[in-house]
Amino acid sequence: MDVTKNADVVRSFLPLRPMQFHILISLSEGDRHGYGIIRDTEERSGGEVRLEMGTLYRALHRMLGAGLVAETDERPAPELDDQRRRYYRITELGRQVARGEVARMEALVRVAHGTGLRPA
Amino acid sequence: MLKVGSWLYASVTRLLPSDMRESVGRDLVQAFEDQCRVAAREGRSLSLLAVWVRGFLNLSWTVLAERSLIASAYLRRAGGGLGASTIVQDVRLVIRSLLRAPGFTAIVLTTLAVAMGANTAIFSVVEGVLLRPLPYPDADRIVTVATATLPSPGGTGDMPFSDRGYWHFVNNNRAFDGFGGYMAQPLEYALTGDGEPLPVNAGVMTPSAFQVLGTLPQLGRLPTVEDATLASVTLLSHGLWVSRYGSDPSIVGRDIELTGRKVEVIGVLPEGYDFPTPNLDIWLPLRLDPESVSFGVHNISGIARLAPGDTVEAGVTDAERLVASLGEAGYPSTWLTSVFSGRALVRTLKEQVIGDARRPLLILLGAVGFVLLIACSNVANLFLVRAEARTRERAVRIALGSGRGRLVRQVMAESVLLALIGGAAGILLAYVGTMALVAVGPSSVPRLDGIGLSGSALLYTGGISVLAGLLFGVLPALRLGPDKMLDALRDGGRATIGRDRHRTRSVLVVAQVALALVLLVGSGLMVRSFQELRAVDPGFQPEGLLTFTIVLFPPKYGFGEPTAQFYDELIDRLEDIPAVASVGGISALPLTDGAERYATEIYEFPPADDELPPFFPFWRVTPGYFETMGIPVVEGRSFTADDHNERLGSVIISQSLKDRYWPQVSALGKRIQASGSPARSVGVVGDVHAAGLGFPAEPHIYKPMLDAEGGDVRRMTMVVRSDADPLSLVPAVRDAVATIDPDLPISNIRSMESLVADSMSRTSFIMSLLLLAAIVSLFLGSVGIYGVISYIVSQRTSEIGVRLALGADSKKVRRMVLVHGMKLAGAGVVIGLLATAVMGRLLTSLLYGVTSFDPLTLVGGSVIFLIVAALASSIPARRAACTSPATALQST
Repeated sequence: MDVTKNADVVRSFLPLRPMQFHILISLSEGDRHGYGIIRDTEERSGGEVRLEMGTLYRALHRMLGAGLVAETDERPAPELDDQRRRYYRITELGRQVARGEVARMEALVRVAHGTGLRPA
Repeated sequence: MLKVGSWLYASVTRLLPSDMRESVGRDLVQAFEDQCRVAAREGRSLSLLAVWVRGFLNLSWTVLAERSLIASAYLRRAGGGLGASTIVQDVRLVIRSLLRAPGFTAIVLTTLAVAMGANTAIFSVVEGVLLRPLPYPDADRIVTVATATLPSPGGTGDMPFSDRGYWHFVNNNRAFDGFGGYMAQPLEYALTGDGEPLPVNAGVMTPSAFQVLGTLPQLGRLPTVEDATLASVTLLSHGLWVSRYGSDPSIVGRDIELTGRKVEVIGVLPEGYDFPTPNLDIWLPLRLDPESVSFGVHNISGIARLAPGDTVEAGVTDAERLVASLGEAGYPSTWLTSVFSGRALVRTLKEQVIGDARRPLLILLGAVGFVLLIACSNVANLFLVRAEARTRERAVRIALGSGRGRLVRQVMAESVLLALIGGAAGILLAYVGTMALVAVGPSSVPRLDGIGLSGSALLYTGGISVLAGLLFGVLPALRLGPDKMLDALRDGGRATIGRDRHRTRSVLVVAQVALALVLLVGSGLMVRSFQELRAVDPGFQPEGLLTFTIVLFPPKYGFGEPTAQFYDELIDRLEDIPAVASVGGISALPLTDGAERYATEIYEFPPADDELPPFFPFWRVTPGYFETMGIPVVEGRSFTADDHNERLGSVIISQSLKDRYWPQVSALGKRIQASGSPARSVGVVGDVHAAGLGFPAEPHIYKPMLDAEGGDVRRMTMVVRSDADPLSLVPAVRDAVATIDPDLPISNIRSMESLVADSMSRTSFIMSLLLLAAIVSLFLGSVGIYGVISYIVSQRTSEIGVRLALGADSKKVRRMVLVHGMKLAGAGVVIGLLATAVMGRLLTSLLYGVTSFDPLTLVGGSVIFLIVAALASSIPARRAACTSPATALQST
């Protein structure tokens, strides 16, 4: 894939919606099912972020379509899990987009720091 | 619990757009179950509930958000730009296609216009009578208050207050914020002094009653207690102010002459002030003496305003507490045990005003609703025929890439557009219809005047139009489903004879027949009631009778003697009119004026100690009354001039009174005391249905104009019998009155026949409207049967051709088709009869002399319908039988 073109594709997703970003962050550590994403995000944010299921799945549906996430065929050991559950994994594009979002945010934060704006 | 929750959740996910449902739907349910399981494991039902609430709310939101995204995308795409222009394009297409089929369009539009017109017209009346608020501030809080009597023969159950009772309620109530009294019937006066005397109806109510109503006068002020004491002020109605005084504002403060007495006009009440009755000309303040100890005469009706926060129920509770304590107001205990039931009647003023008009109006609204349903199913059938004829064309269009959505939209647009045009035409019909209803509506329906098409009626029509359009458009639109289209292509256009299509159409026809039969039976029951009412012998002969009312006022006439002399002279003058055969007068004319009831003592049958004497209504009549009315004298004699001139103390009783006390022996010479001095019976006359033809004839007592104690005959209704048209006598009658007193107005000029007709007006009004609805639906139902049968015949032409070619008897073919039609009608009739069994009960209170299970009506209605169905299917049956096998086979 042409690098510049790929960069354009990545940029077209930015800025990410917070929900999508949370999903990508959660999946970047490993494959999870939907409820797993919700719990993981909640834990990671210390209970600050609570995703609603409908909202989560709307986002997942959209991200599946856009190719940011995909269903995974690999499953944890069957005794750990129930066969019906579907797992999601982050795609290469998803990872690039997440990185792009991190870079965009970092740049933004740097600009803010330059003006002396810092968390109290 | 968990299972139910996830099942529900899963059902809601089915509302998601299909692609999203396929990709994540199951996971969504799975995740919801996980959450629930975790919450349940925590063991707190509250947190489980929270999960549910959040889960369902969020899911609903998701469904809405996704659906609206798709809808807006669809509109954008379908419009190829602006949505509006596609709609215009669609509408144009629809109009073109409708114009191409003018017959179809005309039939559909007429059907819809009639149905919607009927609905709009009846809705306007329902809205005007039942829904429109009364024109008083915060009118919902105004109630009428009455005590309830123990059931007695002829008693209506509610009784107004006596002076004592009234003050007891005024002084001791807790639930009301203001309590007033009024006379339920208007008093009759005449405006005299300037020009021709004008009879006027006066509403009489206490100053507090004006306060309870709360409406301020348009000009001037409301009466005070001092005004009532002086009894020298009046308020004018808006109508009288305009017609008599040319809307002159300076009338306030001026004196006018009311039957020779000067009263000051203190105000003009606004239009629509219809209390206590409609069509009042003036109001007089009623003075009630707080010191009065009278409790025998109950003629003060109560009106009150509920205190803030109090309900009607609270009013009832408080009023019943007051009834229980009427002994403190001076009522003897016999009254508390044998007159009052202990109950009180507190009704909102609106309820009181509407009275028993509610049920007939709602029944009529239901009836026209049925007509609309029948019309819709008829139109749906027509649409199906058309849709089927075009199935192949549409299938090809879809196959060639035309959007199915677009086609569905066009079908729906067609039906909704037709429904809207039908609705618009219906509004025109309704405009005429409403005026007609208001014009012919019986006087027993309150608040009819001033009713026209209102904004809400137009909204209602718009609403039912769109609804109807969707209703009859959705069936043909469903035909555009993918599987149906495939069939259409596969079968080369003959897929349309599929069984399920016939089934849809047949179900529609059966429903039409069932609905129409309900209407037919309903109207049949009303026709039977009307017949029964007409067959009632009123007890007198109304043909050729003219009636009019005269009211004599002090100081010119005074009481007793001079008034009786006036009527003696008037009768002489009237008898001099060449065409007049005989003349009489009565204090309260049957069918129009209620008679007052008085405690009556029958000396041979004294009441037991703890019982009150019986109450009977009595009338004062002139000599010649019974002869003029054609009421037969059964025993003894009728009154002569001696009875009142010599004050003989004679009474005449009605047949039913005799039957009650002296069924076997003569009732002459019996001592009877009805209000006033004791008297002896000199005659027995036939019974009269005084309260209305639909009510039983009650026992009555007749007295001469004067007896030992005098007699109040200031108000008399005269009856004049002649061979000529009664109303042609009016000028001569006016002349006769004027030769005695040129200042005396006469009022209520009517022919007795029209009064009898009025007494049946409610029944005849409902009957004619239901009959009209039934005829329309019978017609629509038969068109429906005809349409379906001839369609099926046309679809089976080749099959019939083969049968005939193979030697089938044409009679057999004919019978086959006929039987098919009769089967449909029969199914409809059976369902309709079942529905009638349920709905007939609604009519019961409106029926007279028949029950809702009247076999004649039920069988008659069914037979009429089967005959009509036979006729409707005989035409296609004959066509089928005449099919030439050759043509039939060629046509395939």
